[in-house]
Amino acid sequence: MARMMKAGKLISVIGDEDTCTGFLLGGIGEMNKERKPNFLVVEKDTSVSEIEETFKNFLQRPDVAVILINQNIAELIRHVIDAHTNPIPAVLEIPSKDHPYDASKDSILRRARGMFNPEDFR
Amino acid sequence: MELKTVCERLDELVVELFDKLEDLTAARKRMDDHLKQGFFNLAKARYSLGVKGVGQIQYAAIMDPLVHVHLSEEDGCNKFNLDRIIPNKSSSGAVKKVSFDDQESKVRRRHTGRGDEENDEQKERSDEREEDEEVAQLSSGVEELELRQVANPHSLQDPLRWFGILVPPCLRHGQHSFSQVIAQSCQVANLQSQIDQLRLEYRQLLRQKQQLVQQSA
Repeated sequence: MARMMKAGKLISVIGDEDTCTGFLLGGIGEMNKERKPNFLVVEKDTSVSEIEETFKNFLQRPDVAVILINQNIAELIRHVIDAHTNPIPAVLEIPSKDHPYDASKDSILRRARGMFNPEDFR
Repeated sequence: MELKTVCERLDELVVELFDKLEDLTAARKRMDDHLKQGFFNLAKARYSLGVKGVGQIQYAAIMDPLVHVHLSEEDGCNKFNLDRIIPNKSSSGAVKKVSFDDQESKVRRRHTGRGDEENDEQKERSDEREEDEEVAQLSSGVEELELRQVANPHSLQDPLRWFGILVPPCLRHGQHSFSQVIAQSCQVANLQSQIDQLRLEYRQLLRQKQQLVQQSA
């Protein structure tokens, strides 16, 4: 039987301007009391360290349940995404306008593929 | 647990895992389709509103989420349920509606000749009654007012209003597409969580199987 744990968590986004605009139109945007948003618009001049720091902040925020990140941006901080093994927040890699989704790069699918080690079947 | 039962359970897990992977691929495909549609509609909206017309400049300074995710635990894995608040349309279109009502009442007053005095008397009476009621409910009124202020802030408006009152239909369609993407993303998160859970169970059983094989050898 289902057991409710906590109510009303957020979906956060790290992506290009179009991705963020679309999801904010969908109604996920929040600006909290400390004026910290639950999204990051990645532009040409956004540094990798800034993306990494924001992603880590989202991981630590207790009110975030799902993190949506463009796959091309996820590639820049792959080591941080691979290190995250907790089920909450769930990290979803999504395509962007000019980078289609590639399943072979997805962390979850790569982990699932790693289950089948040829040595296990001997 | 016997070796045979462990092997059978492992087989079941593999079949279950492939089913989930198939579901995940299908859910991803649907999400990608909606996203594509959303990006296309945003591009069309940008064409009609201008290059800078659809972007982060238009984001509201104060915003509250209209979408929440509720977490529940089911069979050992987390389940993500989506909850959507439909924004109050009266708050967004209030100015226009009020001005329209005012105009209408003025027109009525101008056209009714003799009945004006009667109407005014009735209105005064009703106003007095309302005032009495207000005085009687003064203590609770303050609380209600506060509640109303909290429940109906400007931040809980439809994000479409950031881009103007008369937005192009493609922006509205884009919003619909992205709402569907958000709903799909919850399904994808659920499937990912289930796959992760299956993976952990599989690894654990595989270790157990290896131990049993070593013991029997």
